[in-house]
Amino acid sequence: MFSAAIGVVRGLVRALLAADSPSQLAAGFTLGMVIGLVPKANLIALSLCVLLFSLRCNKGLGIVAAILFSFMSLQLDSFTHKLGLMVLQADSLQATYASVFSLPFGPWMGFNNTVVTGSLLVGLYVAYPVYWIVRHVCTMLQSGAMP
Amino acid sequence: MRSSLRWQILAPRLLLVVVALLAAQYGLGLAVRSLAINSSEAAVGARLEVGHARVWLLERQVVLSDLRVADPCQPAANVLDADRFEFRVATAPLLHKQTVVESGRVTGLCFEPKLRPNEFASEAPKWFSDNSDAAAKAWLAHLAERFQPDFVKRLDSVQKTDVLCSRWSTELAALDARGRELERRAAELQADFEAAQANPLRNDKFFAGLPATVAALKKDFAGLRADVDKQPELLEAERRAIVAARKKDNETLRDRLRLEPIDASDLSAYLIREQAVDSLDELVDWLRLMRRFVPRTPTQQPSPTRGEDVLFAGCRQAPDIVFRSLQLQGSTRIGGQPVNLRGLVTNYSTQPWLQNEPVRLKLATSGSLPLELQAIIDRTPGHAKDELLVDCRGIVLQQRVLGRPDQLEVILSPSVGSLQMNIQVEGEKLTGDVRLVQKGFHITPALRGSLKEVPLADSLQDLLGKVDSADSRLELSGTLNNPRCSLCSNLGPAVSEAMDLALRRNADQYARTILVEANRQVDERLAGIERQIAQYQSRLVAESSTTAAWLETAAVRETPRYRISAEQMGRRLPANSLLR
Repeated sequence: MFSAAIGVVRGLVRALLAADSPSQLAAGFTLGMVIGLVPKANLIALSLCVLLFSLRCNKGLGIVAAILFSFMSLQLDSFTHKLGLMVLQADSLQATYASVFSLPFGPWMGFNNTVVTGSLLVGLYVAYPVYWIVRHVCTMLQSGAMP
Repeated sequence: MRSSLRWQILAPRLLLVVVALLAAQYGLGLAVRSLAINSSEAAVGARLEVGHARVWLLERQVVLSDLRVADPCQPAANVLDADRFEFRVATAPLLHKQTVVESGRVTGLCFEPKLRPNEFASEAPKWFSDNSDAAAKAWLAHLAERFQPDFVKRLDSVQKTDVLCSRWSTELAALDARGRELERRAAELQADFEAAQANPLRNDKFFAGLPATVAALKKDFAGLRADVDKQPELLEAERRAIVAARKKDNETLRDRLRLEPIDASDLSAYLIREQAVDSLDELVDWLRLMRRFVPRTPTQQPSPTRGEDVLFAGCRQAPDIVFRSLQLQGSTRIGGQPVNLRGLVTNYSTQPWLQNEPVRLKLATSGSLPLELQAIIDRTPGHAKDELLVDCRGIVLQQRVLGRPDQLEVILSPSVGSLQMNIQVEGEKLTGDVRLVQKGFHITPALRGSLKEVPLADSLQDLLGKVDSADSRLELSGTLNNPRCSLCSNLGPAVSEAMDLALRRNADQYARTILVEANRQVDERLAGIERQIAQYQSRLVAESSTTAAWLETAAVRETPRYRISAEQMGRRLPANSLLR
């Protein structure tokens, strides 16, 4: 029974990991993570989705990561709100923000929202470490899986 | 071969584009429908139902059909229905996440206002600070009391007659008792006399005392007769006192019917205030409803988005949805009368506090209630001002009953009138005036309840028949939660003047009638007493004449006293004997 369940998970992991290189898997996961962290009803999230499906990366792992980090991002809201507020209230950047905001589609981007900006910054900050870790994990898994 | 290959590539892609466009149109319809429902709920707190929504991207047009706005207080009922709502959206503001409707039209609008009393207020506002209507009510109650039909009984002459009648009954009963007592004594004496005559010797003492007894009896009879004979004189003295009281009655009655004229403003309040209060309550509810639909501050609702939207320095917040121009066409019911309406709303927004220009509404109705309404609702930053102008000329007014059903009612026949209203609400401060002019009506006054017996109805009818126009004006002040009103009308002065004239005209006649009635009652009762005295006198004379005759006989037939000596008991001496 247990071995059957393990077999299903193994098959799923193999399906997710086997087809692409570790870099593509890591890129897909990282993009999915950023998508998951950012609130969805804005152009930034939409652009990230377009990026995920445009780049040569693992879409499946990206989607799984987006779903996982969507739940996790709710727990981070208080932190991302504070971070976003701090960044968006920076006096020296007000003119820049205002000019970007007044551009066409500016308000649709939703970057004036504290959680959007905060979570995007968190996502970008942890993107490379996550990419590096996932790439190594995938390399190990793939090398371990290869006979 | 090459061309067919191209078609094999192009056709599926073309089909894919068509399917994508159709899907986009369908999806946009759903999105617009959802947006409309959410915006409506967020803006006015009322649930909106939309039957169908269609979007034409090329024409930038959106059509919503079968719209229903639910009553926020009674979700099962609708406050507004519309067949079709079509509008054209500006594209440039869409890039800035703002929906600006350049022009729109609502057709088949069915607006059924069903405001419940005090829907918005915890308690009914007290519009009038004075008690003018209560003063008028008290005056009318006073009038009714002055014309009470049993007032005749309270006149001095009638009361004196009452006292006389009751006293005379007692005195007559006393005289009657005395007469009967004397009759009894006479009858007893007669019986004793007859018994004594059968054996005079044994009743020697009786016969000895008989003259004194008869004399006493005769004296008592004479006393009774004298008392009875004195009654007409006493009655005459009373009559003279009653005649003197009649003169006083005349003055009392005239003083009683001399009333100060009722205050005209009190009477206006009495006639109009109750109906005015109902209309004013409804007006304030409408103003509050207007504030609900066009709020001056954001409603405290939980934010649907995570985090906060930061407004950058130099950026200006703009409302999400703005209707630059919206034509209205439909029907409604005002004052119970169905009317067709056409109107135009400009600069309406779901966030009016972010607008630079006030919302303007122009409405015109046709039908039996031709009305023109202009409203300026200013919610621009730092302002919360509403201005409402209503001009309604040539309206057909139904029959109106003013006043109270238990006192004075004034019935105004159907007429033509005009209503002008100019209301301003700045912050919470309410100012303005409402003027209603009615022409060509006929007034029918009706005295009811306690005033039913007051004989003024005919005169009032006659005098008020000349009044055929009324001009009533209400001046509003105070605040929306504590509004105040002052009333001014020519109806009160007209009715007051008619009432005064009718009183003067009828008071003398009424006084004469009352006095005649009082005199009739007094004369009737005095005549009754006289008749009773005469009857008693004649009865006394008839009954006492027999007794008196017998008493006279008894007194004359006094039997000589016999004394029988011892010798007489043995022999009888000869008649010529010297020793007798």
